[in-house]
Amino acid sequence: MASSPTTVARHDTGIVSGACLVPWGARAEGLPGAAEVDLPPLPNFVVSRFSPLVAEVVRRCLAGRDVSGPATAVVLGSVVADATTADVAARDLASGNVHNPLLFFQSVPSSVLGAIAREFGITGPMTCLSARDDLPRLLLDTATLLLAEEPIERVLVIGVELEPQPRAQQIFAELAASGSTTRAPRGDVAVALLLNRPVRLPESPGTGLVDLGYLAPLAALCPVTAPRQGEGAI
Amino acid sequence: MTDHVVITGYGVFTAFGYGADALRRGVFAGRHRFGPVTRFDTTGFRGTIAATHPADPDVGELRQYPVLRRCAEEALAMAGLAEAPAAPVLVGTQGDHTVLSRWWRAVVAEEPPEAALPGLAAHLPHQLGEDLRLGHPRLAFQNACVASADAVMYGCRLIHSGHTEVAVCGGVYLVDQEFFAKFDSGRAFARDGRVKPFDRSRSGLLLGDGAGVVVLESARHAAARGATPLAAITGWALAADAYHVVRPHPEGAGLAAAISQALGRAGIAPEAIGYVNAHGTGTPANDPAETAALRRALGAHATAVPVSSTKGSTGHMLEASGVVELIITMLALRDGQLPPTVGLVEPDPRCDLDYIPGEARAARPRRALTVNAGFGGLNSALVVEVGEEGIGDGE
Repeated sequence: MASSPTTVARHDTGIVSGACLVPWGARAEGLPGAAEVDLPPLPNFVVSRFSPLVAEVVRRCLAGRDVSGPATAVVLGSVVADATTADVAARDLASGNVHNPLLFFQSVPSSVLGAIAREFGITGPMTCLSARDDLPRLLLDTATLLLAEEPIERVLVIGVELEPQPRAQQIFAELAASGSTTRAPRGDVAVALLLNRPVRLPESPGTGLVDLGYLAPLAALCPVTAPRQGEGAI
Repeated sequence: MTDHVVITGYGVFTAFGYGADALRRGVFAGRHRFGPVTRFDTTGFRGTIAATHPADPDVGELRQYPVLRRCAEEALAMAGLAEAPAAPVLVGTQGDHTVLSRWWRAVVAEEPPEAALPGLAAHLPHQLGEDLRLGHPRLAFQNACVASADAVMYGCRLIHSGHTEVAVCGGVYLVDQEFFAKFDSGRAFARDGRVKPFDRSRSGLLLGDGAGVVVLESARHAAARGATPLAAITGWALAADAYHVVRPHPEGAGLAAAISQALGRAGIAPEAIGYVNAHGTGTPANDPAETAALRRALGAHATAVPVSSTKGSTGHMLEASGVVELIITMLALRDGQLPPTVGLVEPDPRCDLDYIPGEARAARPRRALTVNAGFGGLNSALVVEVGEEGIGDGE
């Protein structure tokens, strides 16, 4: 898994730190959703990579920073959210199998925010958003709204999308057919940005980020990006 | 009420049906609609009970989008807004999981699946915006049981900050097999088929159908077009427990913080609150934690203020809970009737507040709180206020 390290502070831009996780590499080829490096486990989140991916990108983004207390808000955004958990549960049900009790609390994307809140002592507002179009811009707009409120001083913005499996592939195909410009990434992607001032998206994320799908503009805001195997910098 | 975010219209649906009168005949009359689920096969589940509305014989199976759309149309009509082309559309929903179920049933049966996009959470606000020619952004809020309260707060923020004059905010959840199975496997359902908030013998929650939409406006905009505000939302806050993935903080730390921040935003002391619509799920963990939160945030006033959970009547409407309970709270203020906690007979000693058992109580407070909590340890609080002119003229 390629990632950006936790970055140096760039208060002049409003971006305090950032991290990006993408799973491309030789060992991931042909394995939808597979990563070059296994994600550190997140206790009890065993069915899907969604929550471990969120937790890991947040850990890298917040490493060494004290964000505890009510002055930190969190905004999590995803178009399809945790399709893996939803698909496993629905497939089991359709096949007449008994539900895995662990799916109970994994059924909503806000559960992982509880794990993040506990790990980092964050007690500010936490929200989970989805939109058909323009989700990265809407996440930053949401951060701007939150930064205008007392006592918020910083907002952790997280964008995450799993490698689309067949149902999610169909959703993205139907989105494209309906005129949406939202495109799926070609693998699991997670971006985390810690902001202390309003931030705008870059006008063009650069052609090297096209494989990150609709999350490319958000990833382009990461202060440092890691080289991708065989294709230069992302 | 000036310089506030006001509610000028609403539409609501529960297992009792559409509209305020259905709530008055059900929630405010101390009734419940729990019964065996017939919407889908419950064979193999431990639980079989939920609060569901029967299918409409004219249109067949109840589906999320048509229910949400009707609520939105009723809200806009009540607000007197023939069009709202700049109004953001903000909806609490996890998406229509019946679409997901059908997709997988087709795949398992080796048949071609139907369209998958209508099941996407973000599809609901988008389609609502397209069909009713509303504005942007069009966002789905997926933070569990605070989702539609969060959608309302987002609308409040957009209006308060001057980004928009009107916002259409709501939420929807209809009892479906997917979430029923998850809650069943998590052993979250009441074992005796009744929701008993704050009761000594409570054993869990039961799901219920719910949808609601409110039209929010700046007070200035409503006044300029001659619209009469139904109520104002003067305070709002979200706060996290930082305690556990799903269990609430046992001392209600996050919920107390949300309440205190909402009161602070409204610029009022706890004593100004005359009614609290509690989250009150009837689970062993929630109710004492919520009681602790109310004591922590309201101080000595916690034992004086009437509190009720309406989930003993409606069931737990998940993402729709926040907005439906906001509408119930607004009705309580406007009608001068505080809804009872249906199912409460013998209070848990740890739940020792005035939880309005039995039947509705006549009272005419001007301000109320409505609170919710959700997976992830997320907590919401909204302060609702009616003006002197708004009391006793329930529409």
